[in-house]
Amino acid sequence: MKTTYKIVQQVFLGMILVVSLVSCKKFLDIKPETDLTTGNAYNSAQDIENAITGAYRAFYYEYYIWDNVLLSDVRSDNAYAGGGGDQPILAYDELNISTGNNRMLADWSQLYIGIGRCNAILNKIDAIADPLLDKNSRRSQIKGEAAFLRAFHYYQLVKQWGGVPLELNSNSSDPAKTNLPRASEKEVYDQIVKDLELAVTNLPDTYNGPSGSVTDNIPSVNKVRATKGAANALLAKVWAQRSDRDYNKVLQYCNAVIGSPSGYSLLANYDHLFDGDHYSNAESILEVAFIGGNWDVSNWGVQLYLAPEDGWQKYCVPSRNLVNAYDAEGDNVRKSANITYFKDVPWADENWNPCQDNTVSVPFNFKQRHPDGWNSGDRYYLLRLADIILLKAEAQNETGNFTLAAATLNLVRSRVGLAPVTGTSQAQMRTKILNERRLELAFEAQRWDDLLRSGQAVAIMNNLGEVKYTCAGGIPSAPVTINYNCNQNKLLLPIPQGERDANPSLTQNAGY
Amino acid sequence: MKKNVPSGEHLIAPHRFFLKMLLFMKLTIAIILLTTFQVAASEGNAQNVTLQMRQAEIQKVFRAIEKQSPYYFLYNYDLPALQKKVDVDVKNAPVKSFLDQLLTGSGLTYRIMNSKLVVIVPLTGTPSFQEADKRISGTVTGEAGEPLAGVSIQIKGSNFGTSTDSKGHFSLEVPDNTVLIVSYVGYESQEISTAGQNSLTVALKLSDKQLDQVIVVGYGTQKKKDVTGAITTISGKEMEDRPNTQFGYAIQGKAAGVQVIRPSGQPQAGFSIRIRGTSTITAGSEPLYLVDGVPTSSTQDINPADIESITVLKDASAAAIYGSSGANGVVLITTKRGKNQKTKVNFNTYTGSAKVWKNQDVLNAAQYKDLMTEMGQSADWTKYTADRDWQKEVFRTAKTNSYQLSVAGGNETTGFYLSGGYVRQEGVVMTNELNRYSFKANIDHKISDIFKVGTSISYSRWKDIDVSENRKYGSINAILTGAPVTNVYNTDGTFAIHPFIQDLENPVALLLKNEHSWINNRINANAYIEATLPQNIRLRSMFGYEQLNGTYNAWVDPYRSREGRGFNGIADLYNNQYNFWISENTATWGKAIGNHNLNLLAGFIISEKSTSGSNIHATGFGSSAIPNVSGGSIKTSGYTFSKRRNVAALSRLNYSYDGRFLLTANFRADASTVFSNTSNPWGYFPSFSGGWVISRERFFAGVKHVNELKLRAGWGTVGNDQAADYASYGLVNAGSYYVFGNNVIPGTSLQSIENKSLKWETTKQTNIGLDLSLFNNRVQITTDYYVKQTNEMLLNRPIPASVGIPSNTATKNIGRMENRGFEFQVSSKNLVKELKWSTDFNISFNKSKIISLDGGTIKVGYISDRGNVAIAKEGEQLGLFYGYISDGVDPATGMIKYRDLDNSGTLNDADQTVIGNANPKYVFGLTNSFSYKNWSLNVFIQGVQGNDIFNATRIESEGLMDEGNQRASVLNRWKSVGQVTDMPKATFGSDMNSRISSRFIESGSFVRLKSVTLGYELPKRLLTRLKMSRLYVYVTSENLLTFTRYSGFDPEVSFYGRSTDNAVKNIAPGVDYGTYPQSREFILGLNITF
Repeated sequence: MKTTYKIVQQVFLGMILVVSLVSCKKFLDIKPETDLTTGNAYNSAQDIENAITGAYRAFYYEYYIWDNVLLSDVRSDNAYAGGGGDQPILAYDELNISTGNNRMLADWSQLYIGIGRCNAILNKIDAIADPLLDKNSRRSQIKGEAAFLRAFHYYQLVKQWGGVPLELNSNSSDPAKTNLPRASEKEVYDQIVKDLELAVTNLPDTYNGPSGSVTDNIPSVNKVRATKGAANALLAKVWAQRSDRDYNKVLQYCNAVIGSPSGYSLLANYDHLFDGDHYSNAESILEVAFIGGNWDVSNWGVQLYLAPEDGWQKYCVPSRNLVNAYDAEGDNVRKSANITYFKDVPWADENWNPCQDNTVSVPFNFKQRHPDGWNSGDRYYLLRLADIILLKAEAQNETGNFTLAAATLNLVRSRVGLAPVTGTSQAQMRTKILNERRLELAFEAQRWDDLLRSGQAVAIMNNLGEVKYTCAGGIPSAPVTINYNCNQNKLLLPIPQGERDANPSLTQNAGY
Repeated sequence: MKKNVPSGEHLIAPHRFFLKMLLFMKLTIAIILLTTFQVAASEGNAQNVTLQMRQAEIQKVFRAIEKQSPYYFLYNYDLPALQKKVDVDVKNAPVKSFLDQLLTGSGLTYRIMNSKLVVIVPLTGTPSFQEADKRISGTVTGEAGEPLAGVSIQIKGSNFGTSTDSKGHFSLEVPDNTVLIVSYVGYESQEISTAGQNSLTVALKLSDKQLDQVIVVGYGTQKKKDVTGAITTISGKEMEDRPNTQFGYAIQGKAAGVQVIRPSGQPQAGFSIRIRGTSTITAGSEPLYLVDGVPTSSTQDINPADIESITVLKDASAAAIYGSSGANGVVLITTKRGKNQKTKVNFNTYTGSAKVWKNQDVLNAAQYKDLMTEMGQSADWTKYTADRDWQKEVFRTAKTNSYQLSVAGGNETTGFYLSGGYVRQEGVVMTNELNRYSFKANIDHKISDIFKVGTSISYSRWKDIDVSENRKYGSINAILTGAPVTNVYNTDGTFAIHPFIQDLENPVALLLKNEHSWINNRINANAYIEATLPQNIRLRSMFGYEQLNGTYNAWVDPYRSREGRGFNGIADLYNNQYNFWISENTATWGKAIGNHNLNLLAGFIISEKSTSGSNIHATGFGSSAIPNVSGGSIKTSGYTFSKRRNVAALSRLNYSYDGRFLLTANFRADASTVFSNTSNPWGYFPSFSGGWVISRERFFAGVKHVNELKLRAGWGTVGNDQAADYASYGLVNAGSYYVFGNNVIPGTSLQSIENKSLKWETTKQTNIGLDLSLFNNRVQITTDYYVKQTNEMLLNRPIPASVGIPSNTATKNIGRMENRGFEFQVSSKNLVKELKWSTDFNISFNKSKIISLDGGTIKVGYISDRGNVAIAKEGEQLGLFYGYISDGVDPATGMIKYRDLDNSGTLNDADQTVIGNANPKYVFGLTNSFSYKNWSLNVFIQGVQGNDIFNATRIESEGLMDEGNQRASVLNRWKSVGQVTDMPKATFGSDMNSRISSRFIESGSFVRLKSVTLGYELPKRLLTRLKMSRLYVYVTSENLLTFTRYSGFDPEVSFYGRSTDNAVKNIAPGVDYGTYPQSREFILGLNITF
């Protein structure tokens, strides 16, 4: 009997042992099932195509949906915050941005997430042996696309915050590697230029179509993917915006865009740019693509500006100063393309309609026009030809040729039926170009950069004479002047406190 | 007869032996089940034996006969003749004739008692066997004369015995002049001589000795007196006499070192338990909960009425047997089971009503309009004529009803427990409610003397409607800051909107607009088979399973709210599923040699846990006719799935010498798939503890009044793998689409950083304790001191956003922290006569220290637009508040003066410092129970002392910077130069006066009359007439009185207690940001037993 017990016991224990030794390793080997991993996501040509597609998706982040407009048009003289008392956005409008402004931290983070996706591609792509990747130069094109996108995000960072950490790896959590100090503004711009020069070399003017032929020019691809034209356009903007600007280079890159084999040209009808029926047009160099009605790829931002019928106050309310600027120029075409009016809106507006008078018309940002219940197909232009033409005019003027500058400027004016200007002096042309850019590019996240470049930001913001009202017993009060208290320190955003907590090596901008 | 039984355990020698093994393999997971394996004789020829033995001692032959036949042998081990060696070779021989042959010439003879018991005596005979054997019968009762079923009656010195039936009767054939041991769990054992008696009536006394109690420990039970680790047990009685919807509430304040946190007053908010402080920073810090041995994910839907006892394993040596998940302590929940007893039916019901115990004074409409006007904000007030206090609209008298029915019973071979219950509890905030249905069945069955099987099955269905809290516009902040001038509805039936904030509806609308509920179905079941083999070997195989299905439905109609109008209606549907299985196989072996007592445990455990979730979000509804996702025209959906597995091998040794020296050693090896992407998923967790029972030493014999004195000391290591399931992987998301050529193209995006060197977090704990029992066991004292050090913490380390990872964190093994503490628990029976009075008191001190954090700090606890309020910092305690120091209001400017710590002349980051500490210096609980005749009174006082609360609710309600309504305290706001006040001036749009600062730090100390229960038990004579065995009625009040200086609704707050983010739970306790308050409740209850 005893032997039987022993056998049973030994079998029992033996089985435990066998099971544990044989199957443990396999039993414990489990991998994520609803996510890919860095080990299996970057191994084939299709993998890296997927990765670059994901990198473009960074343009769906809130920064590009509308925060860039808040940080440019609302922050400047083009628009009021609106929205009915949203503190972080009010702070953008009132130039009262604190280091703890969570919106600003989100903006910063989103841009770096975009950069991280590009870094992952640039780090992995050379090790991929898939021969498909070298068909039609896709390897070098994808490198060019990733470099372009990375430059685009760094450009946003450097113009908003000045010098920022230059993260080019995004593959370590080791503080020695992640806690980078801020690079200087010049170093960041130099990296941007380096990336863009690679992009210019690697990117095509237009992409091969499904048939593999270059002539198979599909605008809905070529206006959405980074191209040589987009890289040249961004180089032009970068060389104009950086402190050590070089207008000869600006001129060079503007001309490269204007003379591009891609055949960029101004649309005859300004309104067609924004009416929703003419996206991927000849004037578009790079746009953010959406499909309406599909949550995964639609644009929820339009509802923030339009659809007053849903009952709450909209954001980015056109300012008196902007409306006056259109009226002063007699620019009805662009005014009505960019601003629309509604009466009987169900809220009081401290700038336009303090007593909620249902006979008063209130202006709205009309750059995108189809809110469609947060589910719009309306697109944003990241780069378009009119911007580059006006930049060329600026470069011509700054390099001493204000007559030529006027001629270039008039290309943009004539399309909206405005009389040509003649250049009488460099200073006069500066003013005219700055104003022209404002009217042409309102609500396209350009104004704050223009003010900074012109060196006029502090003076302009402090002399706006904008007013607001209160309401008492149904009667608007006397106008109260809004004081923006702008100074040199407010031209850059503060480094977000949350980021400084995580990375102690970051210094703060002056004045914060 | 000399007592010389191999072990004190009730080892009954088997007469049948079946053993069979089944191996079931799937995906190389083996589940080993033990079933029957027939070896020898069947019952038909049980009187016959077949034996072949060479040179075997006679007593071994007896053992062999026991195995093959229904006979038991009773003999004196010291008889030298038993050691005589014989050769045996019989086939199918009748036992009687075989014995005759065997004992011939041995100097021994035998006598067969009631057909089973064989008494072996020397031929010369002893007086005890000169008289004939006889049948003795009797009755065993409890103190009050009630019959006790299942009481063990054993002949001293043998394994032979019987047990009482449901009427407490027993009958047994015994040699005369024997001694019977009558024993029953929870009662004092008695030894009774049968000399000259034919019938016995034994009344057992309830055991006073806690130390004699058998308590549930990891993978088994142990007598409390043999325990060497730090363990606290709470009996189910606590659950029975004080109504609670969740078991955690019942142990709050009852156990030293066990802090029960009620993060919110919402009925479904549940509770968190922290054992001996929080010992990690961003990993999970909840203890491991096991129900009847099966780890459970959901503590909230356990029906407290089903609980028999709760054991909390606090120190490493106790918890180490659960190595992998023991770092935060272990809570073992044992549910009720039926035994050999008269069927008992219990019905328990109560009804209650609750209210907030304190309201806040807020500005009325006129005062609100004044404030707005003062801040330059003006609306057309003619449109806003209402004047309401939203607290009155939103708070309500909340009703609770509970019905519980249970049936327990069984016979000698089978025991069962069945229960069903229903609870409906409303919250004090409108719409907030909880419904729970629960069913439970526990069944145990003895197949034979070897095999025992059993199962525990519980099912619960849970439906709740929760309300938002701990947010700027969460329900509690909203009722304070909601504009007092609006109505609930506009005339067109839409919700009235705030006069200034265009996207904010009134507080009632915030609660009504989103119709939603969670429905959870949970099944927790296990089945076990146990084999008790000779030589005290016991094999146990258990398979446990838990499944949780959750469905969330939400609906915002397209008309009433502005959100609904914006999206033309919104509906959400979430489906979550949680699956867990565990296969646990253990073997135990015990042996006593002289004064040495040895027990060994070895086991092998595998488990798998998976969670999945899918969701559909729909907008664009044509009408309100279909209020769910089906009716929407635009939909998005998502799916997630994750899984983890654990494997463990465990072993334990318990050794004691003479009941004086006790030793426990554990060793457990654990592997977790959390570390499967690393070089080594294994962690090794040893522990040792020892005890010295001084009171059993000879030199102690003369000490009066001390019944028990035991010193305990232990050291051990436990692990923690509570990081994300795939924390070691660099994850890449596959849902990053973009649009090229007007088509949706799939894309991927980087989500996290790979960490191939991730490993187990380990906690080392040293514990020294003392158990003392005084004055005839009327005073019991337990006290412990511990040092707990967590190393290589699994830390979700914030990494700079510039790395480009969406979460801005990376999981790493970083840093060390320590908790030191002291616990003291005393129970005392002050009066024991007709008026009984007993007192239980416990007090705990704990202090944490973050020893290293890789040079960094972690800030969490986001307060809207102000930043994070809590910090984890090297060299400091965990749970500190961080911000500016407020020096009050400057009479010259009306602005808060913040202290310029860096003397820079301006307010900047360097002026921020630690401004408060959320950790209490000590917490205590004091329970006094009185009973007199049929009346009983239980008074429970709970206290928390020395902690700070950051009252972020005041940032919103005393911030004086936006269009929200404010507390009435702002009427004292600064208005003129030179005015001395503590309330700054109104500064619209500027947060300068309401930054995170010491202005909002308040003392969180409180002493609370947590519960008072007055009960009455119907007298016996009435009960007999009503054919009941017990009828108990009671009234209870919860939170009757609270003594605190805290100005908010309630000091029992935990801002992020309900968060799913462990970092905020651990780092940011004690923040009140519109926390749903605990309420005052009155309950009337009835408990009937048939």
